[in-house]
Amino acid sequence: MFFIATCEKTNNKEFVLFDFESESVLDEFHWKCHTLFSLSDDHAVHGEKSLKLELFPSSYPGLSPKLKHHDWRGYGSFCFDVVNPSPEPVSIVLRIDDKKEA
Amino acid sequence: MIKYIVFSLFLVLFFYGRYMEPNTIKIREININSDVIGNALKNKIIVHISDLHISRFGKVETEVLNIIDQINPDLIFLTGDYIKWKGDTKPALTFLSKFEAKSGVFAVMGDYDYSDSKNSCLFCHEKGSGRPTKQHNVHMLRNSSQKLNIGKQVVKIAGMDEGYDGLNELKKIKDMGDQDTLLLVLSHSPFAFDKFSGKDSVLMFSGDTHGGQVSLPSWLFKLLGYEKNVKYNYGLFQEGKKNMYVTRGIGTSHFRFRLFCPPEVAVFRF
Repeated sequence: MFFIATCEKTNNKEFVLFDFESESVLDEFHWKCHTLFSLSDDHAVHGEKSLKLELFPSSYPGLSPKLKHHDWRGYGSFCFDVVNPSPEPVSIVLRIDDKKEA
Repeated sequence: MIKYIVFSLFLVLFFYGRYMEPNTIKIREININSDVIGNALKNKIIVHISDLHISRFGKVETEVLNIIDQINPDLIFLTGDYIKWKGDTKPALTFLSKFEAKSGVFAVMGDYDYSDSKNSCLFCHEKGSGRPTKQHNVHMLRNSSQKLNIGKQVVKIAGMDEGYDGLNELKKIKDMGDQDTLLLVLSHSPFAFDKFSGKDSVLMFSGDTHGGQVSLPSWLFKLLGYEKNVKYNYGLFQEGKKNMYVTRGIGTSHFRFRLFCPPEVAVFRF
């Protein structure tokens, strides 16, 4: 799977969280077993690179970013582009952890 | 007098099994009569090795690599247990880095490879990172499958890793099998053979048993509690259209000793 993530503000301004243009961005993700990620030239919709994810069977293989920003007030949507090169469908779960008092 | 003869014989056998046979690598050529397999892998050479249990990169490992280099296979299959229990992964990763084959090197991991949960990740990942390892070019098939281009043929290959029983992917892998198209399966445990139908053209490569390390009758393995050696100790097993080869492996676990069960490199020529 291939990936890019952005956030969109209510006044249509876009804040790009990850565009995967440099290797150093891979250090901004928590890693775990059964998930491999690397940069790829394929399927880039923003810039020249995308993130290639190789997912092996386990409980919830995927990505967990180390976000520097945590206050998303004023943002209307979270967008991401993903490509599944396999002929078989893949289910995606997006999980957002939110503070109760926020 | 007889006591001395028996004792001497015991000493000779012990010395041979401890210091000589584990260092004597045999090349075993296996023939499989199957039109589906023969057509899919026509003129191709596959090498299968397993259960290396490497603690250091030594003479045995060097000889195995020399043997494989001389054979010059199209595919190399590795079926797990590359390290000792909770052992150092570095010699094993160095060994894996030496493998090259025209159509690829494919592998699964064994129970020993998972014995140290932190270091087991090094077979696939760079240390402390989600990046794929750069230490070797071996494709680790972790309960996953892919299509493989071998010359003009497309063959399906799947790897069954630890814990395959509880996974949905097992059903997907089993569904890949059919009567007319070859499915290659790598599995550390030979019991995975029981998961496939005899109606499907499956060629499985497996290890784990070490051939018993000592050549014993099956009733004795049963008495000792080694169920896998009772049913699938070593060799070629055929049931309908499915075939499995269980290799004796290269290394030893627990105690370095082999008697009339030498380490082997298995070669399949189609």
